[in-house]
Amino acid sequence: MSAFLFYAIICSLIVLASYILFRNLFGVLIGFLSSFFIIFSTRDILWYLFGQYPQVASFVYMPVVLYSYYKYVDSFFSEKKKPIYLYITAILLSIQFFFHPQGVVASVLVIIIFSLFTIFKERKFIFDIKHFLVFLLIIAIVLGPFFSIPLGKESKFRKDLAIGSGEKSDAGFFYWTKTPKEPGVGYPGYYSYSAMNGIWTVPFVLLGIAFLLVSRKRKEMLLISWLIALYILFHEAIIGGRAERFIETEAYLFYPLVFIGILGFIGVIKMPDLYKRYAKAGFVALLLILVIFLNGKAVYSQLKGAYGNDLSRITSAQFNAAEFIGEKLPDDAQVYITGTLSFNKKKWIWALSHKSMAWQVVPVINTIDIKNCEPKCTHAFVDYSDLALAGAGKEINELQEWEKNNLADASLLYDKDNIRVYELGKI
Amino acid sequence: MSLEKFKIEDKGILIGVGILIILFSLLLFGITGLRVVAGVFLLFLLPFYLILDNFELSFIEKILFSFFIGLGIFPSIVYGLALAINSIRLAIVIAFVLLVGIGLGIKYYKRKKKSNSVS
Repeated sequence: MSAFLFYAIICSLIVLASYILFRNLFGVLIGFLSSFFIIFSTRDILWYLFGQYPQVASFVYMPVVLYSYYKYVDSFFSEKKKPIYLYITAILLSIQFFFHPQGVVASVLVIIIFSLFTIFKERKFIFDIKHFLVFLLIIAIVLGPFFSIPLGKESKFRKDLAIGSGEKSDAGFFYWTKTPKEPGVGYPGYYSYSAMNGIWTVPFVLLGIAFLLVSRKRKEMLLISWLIALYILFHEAIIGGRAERFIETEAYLFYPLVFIGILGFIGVIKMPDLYKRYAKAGFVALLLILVIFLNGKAVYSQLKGAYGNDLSRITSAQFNAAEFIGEKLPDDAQVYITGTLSFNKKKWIWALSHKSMAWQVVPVINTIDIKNCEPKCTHAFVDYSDLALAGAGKEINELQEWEKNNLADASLLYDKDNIRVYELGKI
Repeated sequence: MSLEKFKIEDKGILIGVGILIILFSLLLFGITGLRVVAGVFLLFLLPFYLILDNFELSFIEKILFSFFIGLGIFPSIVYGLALAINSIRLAIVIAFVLLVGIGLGIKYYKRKKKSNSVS
């Protein structure tokens, strides 16, 4: 259970990350309301249900990275520069890179846009060569020992970069997000704004953006930079990037905007303080009701039915086999997994076993020749347990045929509860 | 007291929240819950808090930065050490002692430097 609990903590970290950024920029009330709303962020909950996605951990760092960098920039306008915030930014960016490079791309893009805005708008050069060199040195020190994992010759990251996206978009610039053709997340409504966030948020988000544009102080410029970065990232397919990534970060900016706009405008409207207080309290109550009864209710019913049957969650048989892999296989093992019915369960087995795994996404019953497994596989995880539960006789026969053709010369290490683990290349 | 005047930096409040988290984990998930939360506090937060405590940061910043830094750096150090000594458990202990030592070492060095400059 400790592994599941730990992953649940990681998946919930955005609440904390969002709190620190928005509490420090806009006060405790906005910080509290923003992070409270993010508790019900459908996409974040889905990522937990989907299994293990390192992008999520990487994106969670975004508000903390931005906070840290903002504090560094802000110190240029005070009596004393505070390079410690830039050094912390360097460490946090490096950690983001460890988790997944996507988070770094998003954070750095916001940082660049925000820096340019600050330089042009406030006519102050926010750059110190000494700080910048230490910043680079920290990144080199933190990433150095593990450089070959993400950027070595055999790394998946380098291969992905070399292959490119293959996902060109012809939709143009006049959309916010759209559902990609392939591979996509495969969850109905995942790419839909209204399904994930609720259409009721649109006017409040627009009001939030309007407030940022009207106010345009440094902290608002940070959020405008974030908004522009989101737009660029959502449309990267037009210029050759992969379609519809970074979409998870939408809620991290938009949910706070729901509160920033309405409360910000009430704050600047000329009326007696008492009325302002009533208006603020009224809107906070209204928004909380909407969040709890629309988003909260939807999330509750989603979670309630998430583990409806044994096929939708990892079984004891799969858990035990994953633990066996974790304990008995060497650290550099590359395991090919096949037969497990759902993508999220493969991800969970991957995470629980602490070993690198590969699989063919479609179809479920793999047709790949194990010799062509990429990167080169050393072991195979053949899972009949789901198929047996589902009574899928035809698929069981197909998998048996695949096993006979591919694993004839492999040695059997584990054979329990309809799951087999093989070591390849040994007779 | 209005929310704007509510000081979340207050150590007491954060310590109270920490105790609530521990109690909640214990009641809901038993000893496993307690172990996970205690492990997170002890291994990810504490060593980096001791290091960041030497810099001009607010209490809440120290807590949050420690946590987010610890989450990435502590397992990386353990991973690297475990490759060398072939034991994850021992690597955890060494990494913990090493980081706590660095934190306390910086504090000692700064205090010594300060007292030297005063005298």
